[in-house]
Amino acid sequence: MSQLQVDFTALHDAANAAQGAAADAKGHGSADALTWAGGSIPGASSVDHLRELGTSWDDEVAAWVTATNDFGADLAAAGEDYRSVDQTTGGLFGGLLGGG
Amino acid sequence: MAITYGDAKRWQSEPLGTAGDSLKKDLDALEGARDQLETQGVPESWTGVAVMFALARRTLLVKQLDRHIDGKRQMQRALYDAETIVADLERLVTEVEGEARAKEFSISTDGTVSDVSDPPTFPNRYEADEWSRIRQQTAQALADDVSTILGRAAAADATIAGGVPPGHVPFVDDYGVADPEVAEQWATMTDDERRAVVEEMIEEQAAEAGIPTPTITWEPETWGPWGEARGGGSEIALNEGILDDPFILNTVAHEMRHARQFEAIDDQDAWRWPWQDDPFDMHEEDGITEEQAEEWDENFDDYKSTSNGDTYEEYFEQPVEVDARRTGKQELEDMTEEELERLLEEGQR
Amino acid sequence: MTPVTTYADLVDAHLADPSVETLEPLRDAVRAAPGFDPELRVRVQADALLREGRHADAVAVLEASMPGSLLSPAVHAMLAAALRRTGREDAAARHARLARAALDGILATGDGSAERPWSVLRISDEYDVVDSLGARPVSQRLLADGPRRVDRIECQDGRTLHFDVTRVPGAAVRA
Repeated sequence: MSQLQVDFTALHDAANAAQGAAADAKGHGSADALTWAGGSIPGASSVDHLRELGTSWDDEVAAWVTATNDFGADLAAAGEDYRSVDQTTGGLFGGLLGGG
Repeated sequence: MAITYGDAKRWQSEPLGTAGDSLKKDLDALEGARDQLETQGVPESWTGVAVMFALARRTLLVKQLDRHIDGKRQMQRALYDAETIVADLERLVTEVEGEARAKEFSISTDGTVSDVSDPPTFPNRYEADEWSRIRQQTAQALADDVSTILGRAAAADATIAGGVPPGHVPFVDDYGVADPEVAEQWATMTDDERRAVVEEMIEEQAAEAGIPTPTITWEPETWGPWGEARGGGSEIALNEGILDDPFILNTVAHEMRHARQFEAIDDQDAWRWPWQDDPFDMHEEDGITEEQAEEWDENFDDYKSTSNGDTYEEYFEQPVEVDARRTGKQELEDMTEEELERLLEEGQR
Repeated sequence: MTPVTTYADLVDAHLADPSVETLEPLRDAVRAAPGFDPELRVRVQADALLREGRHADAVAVLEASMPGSLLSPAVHAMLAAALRRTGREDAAARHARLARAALDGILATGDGSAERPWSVLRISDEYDVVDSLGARPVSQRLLADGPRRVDRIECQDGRTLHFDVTRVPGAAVRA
């Protein structure tokens, strides 16, 4: 197997891992759990804090999932570029993944 | 503002534990995601400039998730701790309700204990008085139990609030949270005791600032703000409505900091015999620089207030308020049960 | 040797050698200065400006009152404070020295007793001496002692301090 083929496979695996990580994290912001907790302590000042934290966490996880998916997609695209090149050109990939 | 007995009676510990367990599941999933990204996210065989960018991006994603995971663990622990406290509270509620029923008392939603028995007729005055005395003793014991329950509720509330990680809930970030022990103690104190603590705090902080003790004005609950420093710090106004909340410790420190700001400005402007101590020295010793005092002076000359038509943000972000808020938060977070007891003791002297 | 002619020369001579010999020529020059105000009204004006934080204005007003207000301990102390706040450290230090020298000059002229009262240029200087001694005045009486006019100031702590105001213009009419 040529070096280019190894790199394509490796990048493809890395892209899958990133997208797999995103899929695993999705939906685990915990807002529902915090709302459930808040419901059991009526009148506590923490009820509002739990609700706010839950929303913030859900948003944070969703943003992370998106960013990680994008990262995975970029890795996959880099892998595709490797596959479509007949010889090593080096500089092609810097532009694709730099400053994402 | 404080938790009522009627509220506390309905508290349940189990959902807190369930929520903690749910957070554990979320943590497992997130840690798995983190591990996957960290170990497989960038192929080892890859070389070149592009891989540096990829590594940097991956590192950032892992860091972000780590921060989220740490925060979640913190809240998970808090939920489990609170579950223990609320389980204790549930037991106390069951006991006190049972005791009240058995002894023919009722406890209202605001925690007032009432005698609902039919008093028997007594052959003589002595026995009637004895009956009353025993009834009162029982009522007092029940009231003490209610107070303990409210203390536990405050402790659980503060425990959960203390589990909120930074960067998500502005109120917690800006104003801080009391220790559960402090919250519990405050909840079980009488209004007179709370006032004694507040007065002692003001007296001690005035001495530290080198100013005469300000007078205290208690405003009714309907007054908007939590507190106000008036007359250049010669008067501190406090909202009675927050007396039952340990948050008032933050407000007191906040307003006293304004008084300190005024004093630093005065001392900076005052002239003195050059061979005497600079009256500003004591402020410098406490970490206040001349630049800060000048900044405060300029700020007070152009103080932003919503009642003057300025925006809330302009009020909130001005230097004297940022500084006072920082002091208030620190005072609340640094307060311990021992210090509170000391303040109460000194205040009652 | 160049004869001393300017106020600055006289001040420098006194600072270099703080004695009665260098003080008297300086005092005579100050009394004769245009703008010498025995009531020192600039003191109240400058004090108000300082309290408002208007240091540059205070400097302007005080410097404009020179040389008439030379040797007023309060004026030099206020100038030292105001100049320091406006970044003129050297000038501030000079006036700090002058404030001390002005007070020391007064204190060297007597001991504050009725027999050997301190001699002052202005009524305001009396209060500067009292303040710098850590005392608070509660009453003041002008006494005649032969050709001398003496201000007797009673203090909160029981001390009684005397000042020779014979050469203070307008002192005679104060009751």
